[in-house]
This record gives sequence, structure tokens and C-alpha cells, in this order.
Amino acid sequence: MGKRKVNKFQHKLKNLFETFVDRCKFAVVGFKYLLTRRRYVIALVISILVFLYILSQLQNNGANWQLLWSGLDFGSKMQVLGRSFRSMLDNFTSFQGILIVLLALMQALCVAGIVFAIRHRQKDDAINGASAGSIASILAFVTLGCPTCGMTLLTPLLTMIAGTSAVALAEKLGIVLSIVAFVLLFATLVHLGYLIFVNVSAERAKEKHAKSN
Amino acid sequence: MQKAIRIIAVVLVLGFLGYLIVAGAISNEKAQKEPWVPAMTLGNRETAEHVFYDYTDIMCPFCNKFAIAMAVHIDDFQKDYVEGKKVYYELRLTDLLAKFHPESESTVNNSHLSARAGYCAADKGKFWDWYDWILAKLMTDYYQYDIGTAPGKESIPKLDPEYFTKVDDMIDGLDNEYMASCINSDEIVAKVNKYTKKASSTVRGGLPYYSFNNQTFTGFDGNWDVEHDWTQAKLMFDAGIAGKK
Repeated sequence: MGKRKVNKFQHKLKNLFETFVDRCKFAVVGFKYLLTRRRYVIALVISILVFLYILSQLQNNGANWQLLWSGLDFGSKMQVLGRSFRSMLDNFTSFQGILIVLLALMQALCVAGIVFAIRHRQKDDAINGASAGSIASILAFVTLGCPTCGMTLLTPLLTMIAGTSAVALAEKLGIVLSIVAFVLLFATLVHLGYLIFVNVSAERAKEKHAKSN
Repeated sequence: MQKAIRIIAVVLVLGFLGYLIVAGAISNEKAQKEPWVPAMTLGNRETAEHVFYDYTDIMCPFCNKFAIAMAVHIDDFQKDYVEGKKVYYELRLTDLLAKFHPESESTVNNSHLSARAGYCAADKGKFWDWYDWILAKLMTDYYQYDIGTAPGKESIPKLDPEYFTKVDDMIDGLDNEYMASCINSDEIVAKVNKYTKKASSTVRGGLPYYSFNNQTFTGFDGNWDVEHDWTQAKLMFDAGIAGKK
């Protein structure tokens, strides 16, 4: 009896895994299709740049944002903006730099997928995608910075509760939250990619049907 | 389930925004104005029009990008800011990294020892010479090999006290014997504890922490290129000066 239950559970798990893998494949096809459309490519590039900028700035705990809100003249503020983009490129060689690029790419794909869902009147899917995407963004944002110097957005929140030694906790928690952020983003991308695939397949079937008539 | 996710998302977004507002308000608080150690200052406090404070730990890599750029351009800083704009600059040395990372034996050890050695040098009026010497040493031994430069990179190992005290004949007025005995004295340990405790009440969001007039900065956007980092530092000084007008 017990063995049968275990087998049933294993079978169910296997089915779930296979379904997920299939969905992943469909999602890849869906995003491939999305990226053949110019407007989505433009949205993707803009989103990547925006996310790269925000995430790179958070590495320095927003030191440049403080400069942008300071009493500096307009010319100096433009210089700060330009330098911020340059420092983005400087950081790409580190592990954290690669992490930032990956996060920005996933966030941008998520935005493109949400735009597609909205345009195709899949309101619930768009809201779900946006919710999961924003949770992942916040998780990613609060964990970036220099944990060695106690300088992540998560640190002051934890130090309020547990004192200065919470920096070590922030570092460990940061790793866990980063993983959660990646898992959430990945699941959202699979969901949105699958949605794109289904919609596009339906559109193509409709067109084919219309032509044959 | 979906409703719960939406509620959590909204709460997180609001919490994040709330945090930004609170952190902004805290960062605007004025730093303490009393000088800590005269040997760690530049300029005249009495006649100064602008007051700059720099909270640091010698083992903090982001702090040292700024410090190395400053050390290389110290003459420019003296001429353009201390003399030209009547800036009073005070470095407030702490061992906050040891408080941040009690679990890391090497960080605790290096942070404690470096701060103590800094205060020992300051007691002899030789802080700036010693600071230049230790920064150059860290650059030569570690930073140039990308060790201890950023999170995720190889860390600086646990260092012996001699690393910070064996100045040999490099600094006039400081000798190995004095530094070796001073670094373990109760007086110096108490001094470092006192100033680190004071810094803890001001520093928010980690190191480096700068208070230039009423403008505060947490973090430093440097890349170990001295010229790049000096330009960044100048932008911060100018922002501090502009904020007072």
C-alpha cells in the first residue's frame, strides 16, 4: 500500500517535471518569436539599460543618486550620469557584474512579456507576471551592494533589529534572497513565454484558417 | 494564492519605498561637529567655511578607493579645497568592519589591528604618513592582485600585528618598537572602541560614510583607477560645498 503511494507520488512528480520542461521549451519558442518583432526588441533593449543602470548604482548603495539629488550644477549632474554608465562597464568582469547582467536581462525579458500580455488582453497573466517580477526586483535590489563594508540596502534594515553584527546575516540572507529572486524570475519568464507561445500559435492557426477559407 | 502573492508584492513595494524615505531622512542628520583626533585632520576648524567628515575602516576596500585617490592628489586637495575653499577635513578612523563581520576571524583581526596602529601613529602626530604607507602597502600586496577589492573576490588573509607596525625607517618619528608596544596597550584599545562606538551612532548603511557639510554619502563609486576615483571624490566635495550655499 505504502509502496504504491510512493510510486504514485514519484509518477506525479515526474509528470510535473516533464510538463515544466515542456513549458520551458515552449517559453523559449515564445520569446524567440517575440524577439522577431522590432517594438519588443526596442522595449527589451531599453529595459535592459534601465535595469543595468539601477542595479549597477545599487552596488555602490546609490552613491551617485545622492550626487544627483545634491546641489551640484546641471553640467556636473550630467557628468555624474555619464560616469555612472561608464562604471557599469567597469563592473562587468566581476562575479557580481555577471549577476547584474543576468538579472537585468531576465527583468527586461519579463517586462517585454508583460507588455505582450497586456497587448493581448491577458490581464491576469500580466498582473501575475508583474507581481512576481516586482517581488524578484525588490529582492535583487535589496541584496546588492558591498556586504564586506556593510553596504547593502538590506543591511540597515537588519541592523535596526539586530545591531551591527547583522551585516554578516545580511550577507548570508542576501545570497538566499538572490537565489529566490532568480527562481521567481525564471518561473515568471517560463509562464510568460508559454503564454506568448500559446497566443502566437492561436494567431497563426487563425490566419491559416482564414486563408484556407 | 495569487491574491496572497499580489498582497505580498504590494507590501514589499510599499516597505521598500518607506525604507528609502526613512533612510533619506536619517542620512540628512548632521554629523557630530567635535574633532576626534587633531592628527587626523586637514585645515583649520576655527576658520573653516566647509566641514567634511570621512568615516572609514582601513580594511574597507570601497573606503580605500577614495583614500588612495586622495593620497595621490593630496596637494590638489590642499590647494583647491583646504586653502581655496576653506575646507576642514577630518578622517574618523574606526574598526566597524570587525563589528559588521564578527564571524570572520581575519576581518576582525585586521580591522582591530589596523585601527589601533592608526591611532598609535596619530598619537605621535604621524597619522597621515602612516596612512599613506599602509595604503601603499595594501595596494602593493593585495589590491593590485585583485585580492580584497570587492565582495566575491579573494579576501585579505589574517595579518600579523607587524604588518601594520613594522614601519622600519620609512616614517620619521615612528619606530617599530613604539608601534609594537602601542598596538597592544589598553589605552589604544579603549580609544578605538570609544570612537567606533561614536561612529556607530552616525554611520548609516555601512562604510564608507561621508558627511560633507550637510550632504551625506554612503558608498563610493570608484574603480581603482586613481584619476577616475579622484574625479568622483571631487564631485562629492563640490556637492557638499554646493549644498551649503
